[in-house]
Amino acid sequence: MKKYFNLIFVVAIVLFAITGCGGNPEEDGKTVVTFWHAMGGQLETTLTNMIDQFNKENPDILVKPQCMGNYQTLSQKLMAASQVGNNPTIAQAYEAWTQNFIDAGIVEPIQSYIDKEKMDLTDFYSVMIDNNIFNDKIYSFPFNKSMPVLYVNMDMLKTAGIKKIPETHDELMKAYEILSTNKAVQTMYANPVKGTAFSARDAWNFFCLLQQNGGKLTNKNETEAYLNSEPSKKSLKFMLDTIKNDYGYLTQGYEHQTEFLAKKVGIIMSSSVSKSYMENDKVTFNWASAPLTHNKTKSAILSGTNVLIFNNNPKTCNEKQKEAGWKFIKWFTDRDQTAHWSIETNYMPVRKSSLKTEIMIANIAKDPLIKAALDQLPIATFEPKSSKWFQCRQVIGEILEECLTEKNPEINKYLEKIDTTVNSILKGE
Amino acid sequence: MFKKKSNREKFFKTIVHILLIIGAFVMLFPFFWMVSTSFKTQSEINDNPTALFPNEYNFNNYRQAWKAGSSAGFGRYFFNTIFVATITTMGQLILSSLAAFAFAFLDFPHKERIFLLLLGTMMIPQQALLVPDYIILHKLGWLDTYLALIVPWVCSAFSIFLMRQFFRGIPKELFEASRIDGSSTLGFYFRILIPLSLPVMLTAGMFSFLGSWNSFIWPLIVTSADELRVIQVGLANFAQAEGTQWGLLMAASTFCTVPLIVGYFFVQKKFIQGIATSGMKD
Amino acid sequence: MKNKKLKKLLSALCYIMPGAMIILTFHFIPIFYSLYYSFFKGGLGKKTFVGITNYSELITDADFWLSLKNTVFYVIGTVPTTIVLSLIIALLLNSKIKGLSIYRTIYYLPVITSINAVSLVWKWLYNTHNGLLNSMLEFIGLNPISWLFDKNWAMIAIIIMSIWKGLGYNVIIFLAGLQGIPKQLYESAEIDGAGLWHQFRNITIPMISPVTFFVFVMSTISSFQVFAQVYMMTQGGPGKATTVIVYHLYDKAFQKFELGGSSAIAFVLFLIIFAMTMFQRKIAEKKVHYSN
Repeated sequence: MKKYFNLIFVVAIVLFAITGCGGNPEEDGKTVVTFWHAMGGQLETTLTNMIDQFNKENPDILVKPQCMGNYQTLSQKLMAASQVGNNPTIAQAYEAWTQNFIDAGIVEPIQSYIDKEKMDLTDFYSVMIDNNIFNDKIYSFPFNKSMPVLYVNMDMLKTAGIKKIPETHDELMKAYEILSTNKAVQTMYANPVKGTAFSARDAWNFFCLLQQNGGKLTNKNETEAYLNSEPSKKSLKFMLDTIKNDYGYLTQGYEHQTEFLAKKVGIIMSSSVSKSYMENDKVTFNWASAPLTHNKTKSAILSGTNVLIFNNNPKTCNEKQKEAGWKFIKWFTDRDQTAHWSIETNYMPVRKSSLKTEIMIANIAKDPLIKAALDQLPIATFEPKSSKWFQCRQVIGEILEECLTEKNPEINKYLEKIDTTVNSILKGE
Repeated sequence: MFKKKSNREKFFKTIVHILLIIGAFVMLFPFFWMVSTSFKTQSEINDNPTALFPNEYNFNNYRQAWKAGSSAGFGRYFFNTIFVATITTMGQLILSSLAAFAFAFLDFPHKERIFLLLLGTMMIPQQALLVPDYIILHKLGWLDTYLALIVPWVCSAFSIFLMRQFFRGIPKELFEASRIDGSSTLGFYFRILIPLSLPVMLTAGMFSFLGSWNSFIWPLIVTSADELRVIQVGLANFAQAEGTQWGLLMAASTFCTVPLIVGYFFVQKKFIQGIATSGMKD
Repeated sequence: MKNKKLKKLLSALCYIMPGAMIILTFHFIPIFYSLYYSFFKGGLGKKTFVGITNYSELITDADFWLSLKNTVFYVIGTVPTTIVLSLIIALLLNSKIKGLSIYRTIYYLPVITSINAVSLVWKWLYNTHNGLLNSMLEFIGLNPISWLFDKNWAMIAIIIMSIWKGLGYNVIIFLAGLQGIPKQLYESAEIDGAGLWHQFRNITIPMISPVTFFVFVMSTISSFQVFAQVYMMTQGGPGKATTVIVYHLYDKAFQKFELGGSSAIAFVLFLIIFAMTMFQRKIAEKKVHYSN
């Protein structure tokens, strides 16, 4: 019996010792900026290095990055923290989250800093700024924005006798067909080859097609969706034809990358960031990247998160800390840093001038694979930003997946379903 | 007659072995694949994902994975995990068994009702508890400390329920006899009940250790500092939205699981001994 | 008389309280938080009281009913199979054969390995195009199944994986129960000339009935709360074919920030599981045999 009490005693002491020791000498006199992010793996390394540099350049500020693993866990953490006002100084956030945070009144609008400093925003790609405007005010700032591009297995194309990378939807479908049926391609590897693989759950794919077909997702106020339109129908039909003719198959998340690397599909549409992931995994064939194909319009939809400043936690969001947080955001999006970030991670630079920096020019010359994404910056758009749209895109993804996994789906029925569900969400029913 | 029986027994045992081996393959396979993949290079994984064995055994993934992640690295994660899991388990064994003892041996009013209330706490999913618990931990000022990782899990309705079920299999006369012998209630608990219940104590301890070892969302939500992170949070680093680093993930999963397997192997040996030596049951 | 009762309660509470305090603080009070939230709308900042709106909305929420249906399908698919299989394995592992330690370790492996790592491996096994399961099906001349992309198969795939993952857990509990059965019971039965089946029916089954009851109740409770494997393997898809209640609740709370709505779901789930457990207790009262 005594034994047990001794044990408890020791445990208590250890606990006390460990939890009792606080106070970090590093922080003395510095303005601490806590930064919750979801950049893991190699992205985290780049981010941490950049933050170290910022901390060195600004001895009075200490930016402390805290990685939350992935976006889902980041959102859980932000949700819990917001209940008690335990938020960090700054955090990555999707537009829909930002909308929620704004509604809750816990975001410091970046507009106020911009106004105070009379900051000139003309150097930024306007799409990057517009993407962060809520109720006519800039609330957040672009952080890690990625661009969709095509990745092409050039060895396969060559074997199949396809002379040039597809530029239109028709050419793309034709290429899928040849890749999946051409004998030379099919005997090239141990496994059968298909044209493409993609995720239906992520409606990104579908939205890009729809805009390229000349359609629009919603009206300007994001109150009405146009998803039962001719362009919408064409887009769904394109996806459906790919699956039904067995020119391609469905995957989840970013698995299409793995299929591409495994030489099981010839062409994929993926994010510009995929490039660094695939290179990390070693690409064992000649490959190229290209702008997305088009039908009527050229269009590419940006994705990824922004960064925002909170105002609800006296411990992390006092005036000095918020200002230091803004200083970091500004630094991160200045010409040289955004160029560096883009070169290291393949997220998009947010400033036009960054393309003219020496490192960027040198990098484009060295690596032709990054050009396609950068070339699309002038035609880039973004999805509707409201939190309602966030629900919509999820529902759309689910219905698309349902349609594409059914044997003989009726396109019109599914389009109608998408349109009515989405419009009822947008109208707030 | 004697010979016949032993032949029958032999046959019987062979059948048992065959069944168990078939089952063992099924049980083992995903784990085997995890280990096998951990030795493959990424291009090997891409080229032939279904290959059972790696071309050659390279430990690069292990080296890389161990160092990967943020500044703290897996060394620190391991320390934290072992520390948290050990204390949690000790707490579970002491606190839960005391409560289970009361529910199994003592008579008191509203016993069944109190017990049902306890059971009820298992019926709300953890996903729904995260936010309320975060608020409670915030009010206690425990966020971002080891306390937040440990204290909420040092007792659980699961362990109490498990132990009570087993304690109820022990004849109540033993309890009454020990009291007649002048032994105190606590004396019965320490000298008779606990030694008799070694199998269930080990089982409950194992479950608790395991739960703590493999917990992911909880530590992530209640701590932010890298110094407090645990291995499962470290593992999440290898599975990013834009791409999974299979080799690294599988290597890290392997070195996070192997200590448990070794530990379990020895515990379950004890487990059998525990029964053999308890004596009173035979 | 009353005094004596109170004294009994107090002395019992001495044993229960230390642990109960923990459970009360971190597992019981939160239930009331959930209940409280379920009467409000608004996830992050200010919350507005809406009465029972969140509950009445559930009635017309088709997704909720679908997720409930999917969950019930999952529970029916996993619980009985797991119990029967794990009892069989536990019986086999309870015999005196060579290599017992190894077998026991192997059968426990799936339990030990973290669900996240295991889900990824299974996803690989289930891969439509080069997954091992389909390779095996083709080998024996069957058509490949697109496991995770066919709404008729996706839930079955999750169930198979979950049974695999959970077996060892119950085997251990059953083993502990089997080893607690006094050997004399079997010896005297053998002397009486009872066969193996007879011994199983008349000794093993009743003697481990408290354990079976435990396994039954616990499996039901945890199956109703299935989440991790769905989250890792299908994200509720294809379509909504594997969207289970907790996934639906998670999605509402942390993707859509609707804390009130998700709390209402959590509370309804709580009531369902509670009712199930009460029902199981009712049955158990007659069937479970306790020594004391």
